[in-house]
Parts: sequence; C-alpha cells; structure tokens
Amino acid sequence: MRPRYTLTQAKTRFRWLAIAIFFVLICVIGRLMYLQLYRGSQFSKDAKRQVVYSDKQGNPRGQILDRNGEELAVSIMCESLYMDPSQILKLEKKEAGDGNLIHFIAELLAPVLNIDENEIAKKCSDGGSFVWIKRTMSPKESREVHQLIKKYKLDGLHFIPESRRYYTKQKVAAQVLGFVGTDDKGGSGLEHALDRELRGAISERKIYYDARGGELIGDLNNIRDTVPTIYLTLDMKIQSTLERAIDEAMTTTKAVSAAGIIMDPYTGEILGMVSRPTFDPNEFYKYKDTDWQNKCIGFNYEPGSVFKPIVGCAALERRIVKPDTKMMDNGTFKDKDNEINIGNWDNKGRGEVTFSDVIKYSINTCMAQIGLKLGENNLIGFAEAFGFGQTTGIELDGEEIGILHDPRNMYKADIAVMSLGQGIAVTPLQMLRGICAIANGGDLLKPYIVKKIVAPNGEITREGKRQVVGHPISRDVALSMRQMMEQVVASGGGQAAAIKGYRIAGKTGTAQKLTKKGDYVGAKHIASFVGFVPADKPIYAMIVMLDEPQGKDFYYGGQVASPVFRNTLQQILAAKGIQPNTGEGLTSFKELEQKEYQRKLPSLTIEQDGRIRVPNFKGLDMRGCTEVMQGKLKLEPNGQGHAYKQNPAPGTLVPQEEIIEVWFK
Amino acid sequence: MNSRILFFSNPKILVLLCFILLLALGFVNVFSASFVYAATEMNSTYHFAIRYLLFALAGMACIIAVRKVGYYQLLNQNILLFFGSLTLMLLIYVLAFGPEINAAHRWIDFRFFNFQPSEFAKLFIVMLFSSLLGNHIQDGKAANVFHTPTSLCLFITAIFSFLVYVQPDLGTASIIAGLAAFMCFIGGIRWIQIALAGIAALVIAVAATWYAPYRLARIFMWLDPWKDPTGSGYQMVQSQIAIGSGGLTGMDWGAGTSKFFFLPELHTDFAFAIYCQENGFIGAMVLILLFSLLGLGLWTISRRASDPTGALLAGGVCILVVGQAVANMAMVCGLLPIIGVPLSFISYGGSSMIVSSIALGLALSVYDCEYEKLKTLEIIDNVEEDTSANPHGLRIIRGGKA
Repeated sequence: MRPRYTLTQAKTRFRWLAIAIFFVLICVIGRLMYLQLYRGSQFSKDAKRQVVYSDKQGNPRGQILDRNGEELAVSIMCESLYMDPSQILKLEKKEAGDGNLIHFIAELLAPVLNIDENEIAKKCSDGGSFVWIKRTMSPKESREVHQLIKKYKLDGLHFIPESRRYYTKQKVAAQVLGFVGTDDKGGSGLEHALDRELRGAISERKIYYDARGGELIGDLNNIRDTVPTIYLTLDMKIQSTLERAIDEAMTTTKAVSAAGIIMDPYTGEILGMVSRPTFDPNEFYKYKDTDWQNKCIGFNYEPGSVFKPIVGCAALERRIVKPDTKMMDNGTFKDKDNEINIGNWDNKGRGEVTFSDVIKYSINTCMAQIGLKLGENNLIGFAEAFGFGQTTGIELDGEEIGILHDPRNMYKADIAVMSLGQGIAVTPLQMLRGICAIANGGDLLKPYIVKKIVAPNGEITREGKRQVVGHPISRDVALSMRQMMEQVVASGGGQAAAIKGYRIAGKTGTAQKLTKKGDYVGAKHIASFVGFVPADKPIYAMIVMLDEPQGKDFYYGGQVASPVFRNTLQQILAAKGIQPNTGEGLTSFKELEQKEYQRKLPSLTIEQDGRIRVPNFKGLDMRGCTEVMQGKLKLEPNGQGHAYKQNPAPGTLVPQEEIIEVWFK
Repeated sequence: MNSRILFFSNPKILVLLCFILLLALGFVNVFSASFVYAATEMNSTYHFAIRYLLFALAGMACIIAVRKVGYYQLLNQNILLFFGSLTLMLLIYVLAFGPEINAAHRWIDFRFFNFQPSEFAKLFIVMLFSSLLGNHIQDGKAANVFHTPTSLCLFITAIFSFLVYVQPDLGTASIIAGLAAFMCFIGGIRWIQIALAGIAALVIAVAATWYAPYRLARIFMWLDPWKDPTGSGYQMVQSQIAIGSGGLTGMDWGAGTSKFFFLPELHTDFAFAIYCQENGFIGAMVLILLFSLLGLGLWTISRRASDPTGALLAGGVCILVVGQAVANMAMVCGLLPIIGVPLSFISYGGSSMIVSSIALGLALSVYDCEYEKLKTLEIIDNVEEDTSANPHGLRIIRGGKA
C-alpha cells in the first residue's frame, strides 16, 4: 500500500512548479535587460536603418535673374543616361548571345541622342558597370529613350536626374554669367564666383519604407527649393542695348575685342556689362577659352587720354592749377635733357590755353607739364586713391589689378607719359569707377553686380549695397572736372557722343598699344570713351573700349568709341524716360523710337569676288547711309531728310568704291 | 479572521484587476501592432482593434457566466464528456473541412473570426485532469501513469495532441502534452515516472530530429539567429531588433517601426515584441508585473482551495494562462525556440481570449465556492484548525462539496 497522497502534497508540488515558472520569468527579465538596456542603442540603430532610407536628391541650380526678375540663367532637372555594360554582358551570357546586344542598343540610341553609334558601342564594350551615354538629355531625348526601353524591353540602361543649365538669352551677358560645366560646377563668371550659393544643393530626403519596399506616407520631410535665387543689378533693357551697340561697333571698326560697361555712378551698380568676343554659355565648349574672358575686368590696357581727368583732378586737388590757369601749348613738349618728347595728336600748337581747354582738347603737352609739376608720388598716390592698381572688389572672378609704376623707379619721361594715360594699365571697370568718383562728387565706390540673393523662403540673405571705399578728391574738384568734361562733349574732342537735349560729360581716349618690341612705333590703338549723363546729375556712367579698331585714320576714341556711347545712351534715356536738360532741338520720344527703328541698319554684303550687293537705303538719313557704306561705297546725296530713291537699285552687284546716288527728302 | 483570509487583498480582486489591466494594454497594443496591416490588407484600420474589443467583452461575459454556473458543475463528468466529444469533433472537422491558412488546417472560418478548436483542447485537458485527478486525490491516491484515471487522461491527451500535431501545429500539440505533464506532476505522479517521461520525451525529440533534420537546423537557428538574419533567422532577428530598439522607455505608443511588415505575426504571437518596442523596458516590467500578480492571485486561490479538484483547477489555470504567457515572452526574446504560443490577453485571437477568460472564470469560481464554504462554516462555528499540515496558518476546510 502506497502512502496517501494528500492535497497538501499536491499544493507543494504546484508551488515548485510556480517557482519554476517564476524562474523562467526572471530569465525573461534578464534577457530583456540585455536586449533593451545593454544593446538597446545598437538595436535602435538597426531598427531605424531598416526603415529609413535617405534619398539624396539633386536640386536644380539656383536661378540668375536681372534686377527686374527677367530670367538669365535657369536650371531644370534633366535625366542623364548611363549604361551598365556588365548587366548587358550577363544577360548575353545567359541568352548565349553573340555580343551584339551592345551594338544593337547603340544602334537604337544613336539617332535619338545624336551621338555616333560606334562611339557608344566603343565606350560600352570595355565593360565595367557605369558608362555615361549622355548627360542632361533634353526632355524630348529622354522621352524617346524611355520609349525605346519600353518598346525593346532593354536592360542595362539607367537614368540619374541631373540639373541642366539654360541661358535663356544665349549670348547676352555671357561673360558676366559664365557657364556651368559638367557635374553642375560653375566654370566661369558669376556661375563660378557664386558657385557655392548657386550649386544645386543635394537635399537629403528621408524616406520611410516598410519591409515590403512600400514607401510610407505621412512622414516625408521633403526638402526642395533649398537653392536661392540671385538677382543681378543688370537691367536687361540696358544690357541688350549695350550688346547691340557694341556688336555694331565691332562690325564697323573690326576691333579685335571690346568692352562696355554701364554703371550707376551713385551706387556702383553695374547696369550693363558687355565683353567681346563673346560666346554662348549654352554651348561654351564650342568657343575658345579666351572668349570666356570678361574684358571689362580681365583686360589690362593703357587708357590714354581717358586718364587725363584723373590726373587733372589730382592737379586741381593739389592746387597746381585752376580751371582758368593759363598754359602754353607749343604743339610739342621737350625738356632740356631731351628725355621727354611729347607731341599733340595732330602735332599742332594752340598757343596760350586755359586748363579747361587742356582737358577739352586733350592737349598732351600741357598735361605733361602738369604731370611733372605733380611729381611721381602725387601721380601714383592719386591713381591709387582712385582705385587703380587694385581690384575693384566686384563679385566677378578673374579681375585684373592693372599695372602701376613704383614711384621710386620713375623717370621724368614716365611721369610725363603717365599724365597722358600711357605707361599705366587699367581695366575698363577700374577706369569707369574712377570717372564715377568724379561724376558723383568724389566718392570712390565698390562696384557690385549682385543686387540680392533671395532664399527659397523669400528671405533676402545677401543684398548689394552702395559702398564707399574712398574719397580721392573733394566735391569742388569733382564738380569743376565735371564741367570740363562736359565741355569735351559739348565742343571738344568728344562731340560725337553728344545727345541732343542732354548735358553729357565725357572724355575720349586713343591709346597706343605697346608693340611686341616694347615701343609705340607703328602701334595699334585702343580707342575708348568714358562719360556720364546727365552731366549735372549723373544717372548713367558708361565706358566703351575698342581694342585695335582696324580703320586707317579711323581709330580715334572720338571717332569710333563716342558714337557707341551716344547710340546706347540715347536709346536707354528714351526708354527709361529720363527728362532732357533742355528742350532745345530735341526730338520727341516718338521720333527717337522711329530713329531706333531706322538704326537697324542694313548690312553690307560683300560677295566672294569682292563686289558689293547694294543695300536698300530707303528711310535712312544721310549719316545712316554713310554708316552702312563703311567707306566701301561712295555716297552722292541729293536733297535732305530721309532717303526715298537710290541708284543703282537695291540688290545690284557693284564693284567697291562705286558711287551710289541717293535722294533724300 | 476575514482580514487574514483576505491577505494580500483579495485574490479575486487581484485576478480581476490584472485581467482588466491586461485587456487595456492588450487593446492598445493590438491596435498599434495591427493598424498598418489592417489598413493595407483589411481595408479598415480598426479591423483587429474592433474585434479585440468584442472578444474582450465576450471574455468578460464568459467569466460572469462561468462563475454563475460554478466550476463543479462544469467539471461534472457528463459535461466533461460532452465538452470533450465536442472538442474532438471540432478537431477532426478542422482537419477534414477547415480552410487552409498558412498551409495548416487550424481554424474554422466563422466569417467574423477564425475559431481555433486546439485552444479549447488546452482548456479541456486542464479541466479533465483537474476533475479526474482531483477525485483521485480526494481518495488519497497519487496519480499513476499506468493506472486509471491517469492513463485514461493521458490517452485522451495523446489523441488530442496528435490531432493538433497533424494540423500541423507542433507548438499547440506540445503545449497540450506539456499541460498534461504538469497536471500529472501536481497530481502526484512518482519521480521514477517523471524520469521515464523525461527520457521518453528526449527519445521522441531525438527521433523527430532524426526524422526531419530541418528541426535541428531550427534549433541551431534559435541558438544563433544572426547567422542568417535575412533567411531562417529573420523572424528571431527582427524580434530581437524590435525588443532591443525599445530601450528603456520605448518608442512611444504607435511609433514602433517593426509593424511595417518587418516582423510577421506581430499582433498575434509576437505581440510582446512590438509591446517592448513601443513601451521599452519599463513597459515590459509593467506587463511582467501584471502577469506575476495574476499568477500570484491564481496561486493563492489554488493554495486556499480545500477541494482537490478546485486546487488542481486553479493551478492548471495558472499554468495555462500565466505559464503560457511566460513561455511566449521567453520565446519572443529568444530564450526558447519559437513555437506558436499566444501571449494571453495581449495577443490578438478570439479563441485564446475566450479560453483564457473561461479559465480565469473557473479559477474565480473555485474562490467563490471556497468563500461560500468558509462563510457557512463560520456561521455554524465548526472550523478545524490544522496548523501541522498548514504552516502558513491558513484554514483548511475538510468536507464534501458545498
């Protein structure tokens, strides 16, 4: 007989069981401590990692607009096509293909992408897993490629979104804007200088995926529009007017290069900036790299007589002369040691003249005398005070600083030559800035071209402001120099720059270029004109520089550069509605507009055999006709007014120097 | 007197309180774990949450009904026979006509929810052993594997377990067998027989592994799931990531990431993983505390029961509800190999919820009867103090059924 099994015993056994279960529970707690507390952070990372994917997304590069919001450079997201040859080879192996799959694909792509078929095939035959086929395809191309892939079920072709730059105005302000190379990197100009701001920021988007690869909604912090928009101080109306005028000058003068800047003399804003030769930033790679250079800031040249107002200001400031100081002009100026031999441009002496006349007629002999009185230290000191020999500080890249003598190493001849604007090298922008200091009453400004940078949220992160960096001359000196410069245009050497009704101050310049031998014998020239309007309260200051105009005896600043100034500003003043100073002899806006229409001069086509096709002169005035003829045809005018009849008829082929009879009324 | 009986408050209140709190946690957790799946697959974000709520209400109703009827009524041999036959029929029906879900025939489709007869088999085993072994102990006899009624019980267990095993559902089959083993242990089975059973289990395990080598692979996988985190170890690894990423304080309600299809069976067997992810170590401790208190309450009921059937029943319920929960937690955190065991009240599942509720109802009914008995005995003032057999100084009431 077995012993009795009591309930108490059963309960004891149950207690042991309960203790065992409790022991397991303690183990669970221990395990939880290990998993959650000891390795918690590690597991947390794991858990996050398997849910969150950061999707790096390229944003289009920032826009560049003019001051009025007109688009100059915009970017859109395009697709770039690349091939994964290894994928294709793998596929071929599987299907025991004969190695023609790549050729087949290349054959399909070539006509769509306009790339040579063999080029594609060659690139891809080397294997690897990543070969660019075409970057930043146009929307049409990428659509067609997508269709091909769908149609032929192609493998191994993939797309990557990339930003593609478009310059909506093609060549306009090309050097200012610069261009964007591959990988969205700014190559030159503002694109390079402001690359950091403009760069299509890679925005990181966190995407939450579930385990099945589905994108989870509701938690997308999608950051787009991280790139700011840049507003320039450029005014497209002014810019394109300037572009046209410079282009015209380039054809008429056959200059090698040219530069033109229009600036607000009070603020230092660059309103227009043109450099020739130029390029199309959309296809920058098709042009020489020298064409990318901005001559306005990257070209050192000897300014010539344009520099005389600066020297004149120094003399006035040092009280060496007054506007009415009498001076002697003998046509040539030599010192005792024969070290210096300076002649006027026409080698004619004008006898006793005032200092005003010296500026007005650009008398070299008197300027040399003044320069020698000033001395090397004053000359260089003032040049530096006017900002020469240093960068202007504009936002653009590639600025030259010019060349200034060291005053300790200057001979008398150097001093004399420098007072004529030779023996010193400046950039067009430096020159214009120096003249602006005269125009605005003595403030040397830091020119700027970035008006504002606006963040996507509308916040202005950076704003261009008027910055005075020096006061080279007093207000009185500036005012009297302004008056003298007004005389230059009114009745001196710069009359071609005159615009009826407006008071214009300016100065012409014709500098000789140093030949390779280092002298000026048989030298080429640089013609320039700098001026501002209206003279009493300047709104626009402008410089025109033409490098090596090709005409015989047609290279003087007053001849070639002054008309550019006039043509440009006349249109701008009319377009901007700036009231003239006097109503005298003034044409109405309507007439100006008509004139502008007329100014679209017909071009002169020279056939291969040297004969000329006679253009239609109808509607042009006499000057217009001469401009069109460029001296290659001879005008025999009848009457006055606008042309209404001509002989020979338009389109006739005539030899050069033929006399064309035109009737005006 | 009363205050001593109601030591540690009242086991009834303890059990009911834990029950309600577990339902609350379970509801929130089921919703949080399932809403992604429900929204994408079931067209309703609240699909599982609403059903859980209804199951919980049904569970409460079951507790009330069972207490009203009384455990002794339900453990009546006729009722057991009926209940057992019904469960048997349903198990066979499931095998024959049940829809195939996940390559297994486990459920009967009731449109509104899937009914799982194997869950009821678990409860039935507990009830069967309690009833028969209880009466046996009443007679002063210990359970013996080779004699009735133990052998009969084990025979029935074997049939049920086998029927569940061929569904196939090895997990539930083992649970059924395990429950029977524990009941035998409490019922006084001799140590030599325990050892024999252990050896038999080992032999069966080795044979099963020999027969199907993938089981061995599974065991190795369990030992080091990180060997193949995307393949065979996937579920285990994801489970550990989910638990671990909760850290001390958790990811907040609803913020857990594993619910996005990373961890399968998230709202059912792996509910504990997402619970730990969202509530952290502190939350897990709260849950473990609740289950411990529930276990304490059930244990107290069992300990105080004067009726061997009642005592065995309360003990069995404790193993069924709390033991199973502990097993689930141990599996989810990688301490035990994974077999399909639900986490009582926290996992989503109608059958499990109703079975667990009925089980609690039975245990509470045991308490009710004991309380009634005590009251009656106190009135007639015929209470016998048996301190020798009761070192805790608690009253043991001898006598027939109330």
